[in-house]
Amino acid sequence: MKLGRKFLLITTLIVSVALAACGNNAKETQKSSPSASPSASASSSGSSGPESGGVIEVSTVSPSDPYLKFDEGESWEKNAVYDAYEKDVGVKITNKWIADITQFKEKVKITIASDDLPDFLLVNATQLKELTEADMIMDLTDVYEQHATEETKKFLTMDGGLQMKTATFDGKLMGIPSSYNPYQYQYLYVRTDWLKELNLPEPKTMADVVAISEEFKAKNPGGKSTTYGLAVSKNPFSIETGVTGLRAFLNGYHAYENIWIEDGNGGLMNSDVQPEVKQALVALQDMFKKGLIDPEFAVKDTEKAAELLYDDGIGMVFGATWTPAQLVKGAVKDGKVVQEWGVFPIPSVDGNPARPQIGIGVDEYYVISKKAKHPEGVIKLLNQWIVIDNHPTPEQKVYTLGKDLVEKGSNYWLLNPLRVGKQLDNNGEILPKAIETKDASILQTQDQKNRYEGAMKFVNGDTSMWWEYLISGPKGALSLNPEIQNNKQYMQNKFYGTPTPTMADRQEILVKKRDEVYFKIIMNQVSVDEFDKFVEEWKKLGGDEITKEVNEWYAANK
Amino acid sequence: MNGLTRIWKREWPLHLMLIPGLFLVLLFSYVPMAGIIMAFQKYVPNKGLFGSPLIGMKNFQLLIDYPDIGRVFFNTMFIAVMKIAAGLFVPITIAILLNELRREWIKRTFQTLVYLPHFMSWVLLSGILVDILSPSSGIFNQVLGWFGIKPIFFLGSNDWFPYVMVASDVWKEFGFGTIVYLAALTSINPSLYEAAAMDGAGRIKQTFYVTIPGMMPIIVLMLTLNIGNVLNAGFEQIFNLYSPPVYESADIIDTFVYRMGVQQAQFGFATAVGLLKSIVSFLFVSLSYVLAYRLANYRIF
Repeated sequence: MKLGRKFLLITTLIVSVALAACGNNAKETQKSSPSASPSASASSSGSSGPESGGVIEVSTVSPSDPYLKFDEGESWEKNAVYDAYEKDVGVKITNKWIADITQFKEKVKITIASDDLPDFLLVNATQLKELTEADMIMDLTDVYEQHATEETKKFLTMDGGLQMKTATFDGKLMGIPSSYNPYQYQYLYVRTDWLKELNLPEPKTMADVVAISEEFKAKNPGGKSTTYGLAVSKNPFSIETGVTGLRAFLNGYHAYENIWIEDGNGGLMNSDVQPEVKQALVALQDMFKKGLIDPEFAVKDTEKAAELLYDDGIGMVFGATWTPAQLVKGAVKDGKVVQEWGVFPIPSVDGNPARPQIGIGVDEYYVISKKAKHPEGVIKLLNQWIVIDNHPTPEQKVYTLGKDLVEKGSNYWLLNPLRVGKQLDNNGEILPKAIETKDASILQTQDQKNRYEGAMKFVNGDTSMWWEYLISGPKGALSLNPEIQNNKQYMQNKFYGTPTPTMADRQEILVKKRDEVYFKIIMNQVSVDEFDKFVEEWKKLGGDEITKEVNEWYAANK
Repeated sequence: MNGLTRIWKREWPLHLMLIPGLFLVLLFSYVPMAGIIMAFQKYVPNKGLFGSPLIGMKNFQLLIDYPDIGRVFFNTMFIAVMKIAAGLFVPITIAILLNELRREWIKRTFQTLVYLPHFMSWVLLSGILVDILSPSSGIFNQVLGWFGIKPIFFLGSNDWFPYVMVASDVWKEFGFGTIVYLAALTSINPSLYEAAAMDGAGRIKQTFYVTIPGMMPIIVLMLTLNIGNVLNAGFEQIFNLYSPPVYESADIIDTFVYRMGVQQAQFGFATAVGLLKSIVSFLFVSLSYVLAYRLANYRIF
């Protein structure tokens, strides 16, 4: 009897554990099903009579975002934004499924793998290529040509058509780029209070950069025991190093980090092995020898390297637009601005202006399933989005604010199923002017309004917003953009295909060898002539093969 | 009713209790083994495990063709073997020395202090090490300076890097090992020491002829277990501390796989290297187990 009771207890325990596990699963399926099944049934019932009343139906999939707050009585199935699309352009939007934003990308993968695409959805560049090869998505060339408005066509080719080209395979448009602004430059940030104190001119050439850092080190206006000229951290050539990198330094010498540039004979060549890089490395080695670069930079991450900027050890650094947000940690102490920074375009080694290197500005695409009945509906959504995002009439604010047309932080814009961003912004023209004249009326976009507000807080004495003023203010980083933009003073990667076969196998070793040799030259461990040896090695280790493949791609996609 | 069924009748609920555990082991240790197939595929995430094309041994070929493969293997073995050797020697020595301490509280305090770094992650410790070993401001180089030694850039020099890895790993982990060996020491029969003292053996002789032979089974066990790590030179540690100028002496299989597998998204290749590592480790463990059985008559199972 005793045994029996024990047994009962144990079985209960085991069963309860097992049940608990099952219970979770059951709950999850329940959670996902209500959203999935009604929409599925809706789509089947709705598609029966699409011509009636001229309303067509397209299905998609959406990520549910915690920042999206529905008005009362509204949901993914029925809301003001979907209603507006249906009313204004005659397209009824349904969702095949809705997943939490953190799981959305995974779920898209499963959707693709199970060949269960909605009419249109957002995918990444690799998926775009795979879907094209698998013949699962539609060739949009004609649909786009017929149904996209002039405005849409213009809007998506503001960058000269590059982003559209990345979605084109063998002359067929396979996706609509989820575009954004690729024109993100780096700049040189210098302690202007030190320049003034030491009576130095503003940096115009790379020689000035060296001269100023020498002066900063020698005169030591910060009064610290550890001082260098230029702040550098351990991954200086990586795109992820937004502050304390050396990409901009290379650009100053007309050298570029691992992009494909024209070789002058109608082909492409890799920038890593060009003689201009050697010049830049000579200069860096020279600075290293003079003690202008931290001898330990190779082991310091951005935050550690930036500490020397915070406590007056270094007064110069290259960085992206948002660098001031990093500098603020040292520049503002106890509510007082204790360091003054100025921002300058990347200086050049010679008379030709330096060109900051930039990317393409697109990594995701909207694709339309081959089985979609109304691809034109998707293009109509696109047309409408561009209208309501850029110049909404008061009534069209419904697309971003909901039916009450007032901003209440509910982020209704997230409900728009197809969104593309401006490839060009005019922040550089508008913001510095608006902030200087305190004229909010010329602001055009939400981004500009937010930045203006931030900078105005600083103007009115809130020092914590110091950084926004250095980004957007009259002499801020953005104010340098119009000139770069108008003179096309940037260098864009000419290769935008998916990695070639040899690239996939050999990119790692090429980058490793490059970093090894660049670092050793900078740190004066080997002579600059090692660069020539590296170039030879680079070619042998697969560089020549990759160059061949890239040029084949270039010939086909010019 | 014979004895076996009687035992079974009494103990079967206990066996039942094994089921959840066995289930978890199956689910998390054996089912994922199906992923080994990735080593022979050109793995494409969208196509998944069963849809990706099989490419035979190409991933292994790629590994053999890797220009730096010799260097990478040498670095891995060099650092790992040194770590295994130092990881045995240091804790054993410390355990024996600690065991000689009379005052219990000194012993306990020391033990706790050296055990602490074991709980810190390499991400954290690497930041500390960069500071301690800094040639300009690091405390270590300052101390060396008192003896007239010029500052050394330990983390940036190929001559020093592997030894710094070994020393810092020993520093982090020896406290943990010490505890194991201290436990082994307590199991030695005190009468053996008394007999040795009777025969005129001093402290030193007692250590060599009683303590060390008494610890042998544990030492052999630890060695056998560690030999399996001969291709694990410590990814977290090296990844957080290395930099391009020391690639030559610091690049190990795991860091290489990280760059290739994660950064270049060559998942099939990374799996192939992982599989190769597992096979080599398995061989080494088996070999050392056989040796331990033959030489020290030690069996795990």
